[in-house]
Amino acid sequence: MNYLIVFLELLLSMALVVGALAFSRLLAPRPAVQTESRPYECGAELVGNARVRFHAGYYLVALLFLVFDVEAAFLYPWAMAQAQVGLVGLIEIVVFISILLLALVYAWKKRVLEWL
Amino acid sequence: MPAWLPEALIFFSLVFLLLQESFAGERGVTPLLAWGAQALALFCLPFLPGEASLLGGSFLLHPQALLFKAIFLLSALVCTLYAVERPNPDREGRIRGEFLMTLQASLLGAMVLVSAGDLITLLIGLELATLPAVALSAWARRNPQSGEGGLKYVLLAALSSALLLFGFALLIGLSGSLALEAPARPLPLQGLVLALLLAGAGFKLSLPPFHLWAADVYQGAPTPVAIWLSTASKAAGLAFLFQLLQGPLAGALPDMLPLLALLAVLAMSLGNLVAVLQQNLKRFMAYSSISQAGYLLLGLLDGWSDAGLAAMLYYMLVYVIGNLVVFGVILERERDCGATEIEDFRGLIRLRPGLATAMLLGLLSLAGIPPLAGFTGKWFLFAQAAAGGWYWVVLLAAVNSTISLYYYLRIVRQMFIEVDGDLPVRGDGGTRAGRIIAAGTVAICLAGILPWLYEGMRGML
Amino acid sequence: MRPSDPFFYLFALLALGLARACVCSQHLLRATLYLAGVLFCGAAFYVILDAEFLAGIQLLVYIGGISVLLIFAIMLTRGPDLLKDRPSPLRRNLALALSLSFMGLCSFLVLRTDWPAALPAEPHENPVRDMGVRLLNPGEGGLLLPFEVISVLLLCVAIAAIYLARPGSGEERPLS
Repeated sequence: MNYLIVFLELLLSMALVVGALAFSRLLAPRPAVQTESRPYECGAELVGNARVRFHAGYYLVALLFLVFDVEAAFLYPWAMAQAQVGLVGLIEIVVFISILLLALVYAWKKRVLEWL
Repeated sequence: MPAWLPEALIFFSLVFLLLQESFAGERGVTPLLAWGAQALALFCLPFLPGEASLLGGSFLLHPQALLFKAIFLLSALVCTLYAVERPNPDREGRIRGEFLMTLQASLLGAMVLVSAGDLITLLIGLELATLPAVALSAWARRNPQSGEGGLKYVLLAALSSALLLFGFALLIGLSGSLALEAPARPLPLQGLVLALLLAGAGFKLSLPPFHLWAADVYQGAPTPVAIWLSTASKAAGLAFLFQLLQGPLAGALPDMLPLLALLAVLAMSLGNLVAVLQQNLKRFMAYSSISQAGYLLLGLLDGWSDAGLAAMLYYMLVYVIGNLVVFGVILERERDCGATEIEDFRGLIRLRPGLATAMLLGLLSLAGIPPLAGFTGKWFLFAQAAAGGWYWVVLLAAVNSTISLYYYLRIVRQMFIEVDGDLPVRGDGGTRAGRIIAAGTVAICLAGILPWLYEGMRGML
Repeated sequence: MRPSDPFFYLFALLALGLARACVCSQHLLRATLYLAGVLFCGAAFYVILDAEFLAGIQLLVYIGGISVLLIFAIMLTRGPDLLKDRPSPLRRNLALALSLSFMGLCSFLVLRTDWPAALPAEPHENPVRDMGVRLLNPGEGGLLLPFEVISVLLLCVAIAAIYLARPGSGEERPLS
């Protein structure tokens, strides 16, 4: 069970967060006034909800990230098999990457990557 | 000529379209890059080797694949030409490279699908054929209907992909092989695998109960995309079914026959009954295509035979040409008056006699009236079902054909009989689309009379 | 009972609870987080089955990529609390009956089936390397064609998604 350690660490980190929250709930004084329970913002009034609408640019960047994320997942087996597949494998993987690079070229030229 | 030439042509055209779209800026892409490659690939098909196996059997070429590729390339070519034809400056601007590129990708997927020699290639080909088509159906971004259709399509495509993947995972896991062949011994869970795979094929073919996306998607999608979905995408579904029936499901066909017969009857009847009620011609064509998928399945009912295969391929070709003609007329009308309601076709014979005649012949061919090609195609299919002893299915199919005649004639009535009063806008004819429609109409008439097309197909297989 | 069995049941229970919470949550953002939890349980299953590579992909692509994409997509919409629609009791019960019957069918089939020996003849020494060799092998039994087609698929989907999601500027007009 090599992963027992990982599992224990998972439990530990969860316990840490839950414990910290629970302790602060138990020990913290209850504020009498409602404003005091708000998040601390240097004494200023709250501006609004944290859930504002995002710009569509974020979505596009996340989309491109996802594409190259999948590419990375495919690169890993190639990296492991490099010794076996040799030059032919290198050429094949370069073709694979170049096809995907076209997506980056397109996004670049269409100014998807320019921020606002 | 190398066996991979058509795919390579389409692939490079896809790459160049994308590069041109990226770098050309406002000038836009050269549509010739798209339809030129398709036409060239179509032209290459007769010169390809009849049998070939590349990449260790991942990519196979055989007559059946060649015929399917011809159908895909033909409908892609016509879709592209319709899409780039006569851009209306108010609504369309220039044709976008992304559009042509996505269409090429869908075409490439369909071509890989028919040539696939193992299960993974088959699955990836199907995905490549489907996902771009989903994106295309939502292409008209300012039209909320297009977005709605796209959303419904993507959700149901995801569901069918999930079922299909589950089926493939079970199949590969239980047989332990990726080969596209019947497993050596009967698999455990064969029924479940079969149902899951059939669901995936049924979705592409829009067979009930997997047809729910069709009407909204056809109506919302830009018309060239609706053409693509109703022709090549459906042919890809048939090709996928063939691949399964020749591969992993080969032994299961005799047990599947009652189910297939039921699906066929369901598709025909449901498509027909709902089509009668439609007011929008694109929705109408969606239900018509559902019922046509039902007729197609009749060719399987005598078990797997070359005659049945040829009958289905022939009918597919005839159906594709008929749809290309009818949708071509719909597209022309849409460009003239901006809508696709059946009402907009009123008095078309006085406004645009050529279009009205083409539409008449296209619809009658879809209904299966002799001596048009649709009749011959249905004849062969019915003969196959009868040869298998499925007389009640043939009877129901004949009844359904009669019902379908009623609703196809409803449109003919609008075009030819109700010609009084204020007629809708006339519009001016496009040249290239007109020629395609004319060529398709001639093909419908000739294919029904000349027997060598079907015989030739049968001889090839 | 193998030593990994308790972990399987633990994560299975967790996945079930999270999946239920994801489906029933009235709050889209929370539902996404529950979904990420379900996906994490999937990664844990892969680890239990000795498929570390798949577990890594699950974490990298599904939790790291798709969940983030989902959260951005939700943040693009007007408000994450839009899910006010409560399904009618008829629809709820119908959905419940349908899901239960599908579950019943699957469990019935799985329990009734005489499964073949699941282990391969020789265990892979380095499965990821073997996978890489197979993916890039252009010869017999290789998967080079689907591998390269995947890149076309990713490319095309990326382009189409960018086109559809890009905020419309004046110069582009939709097709018909």
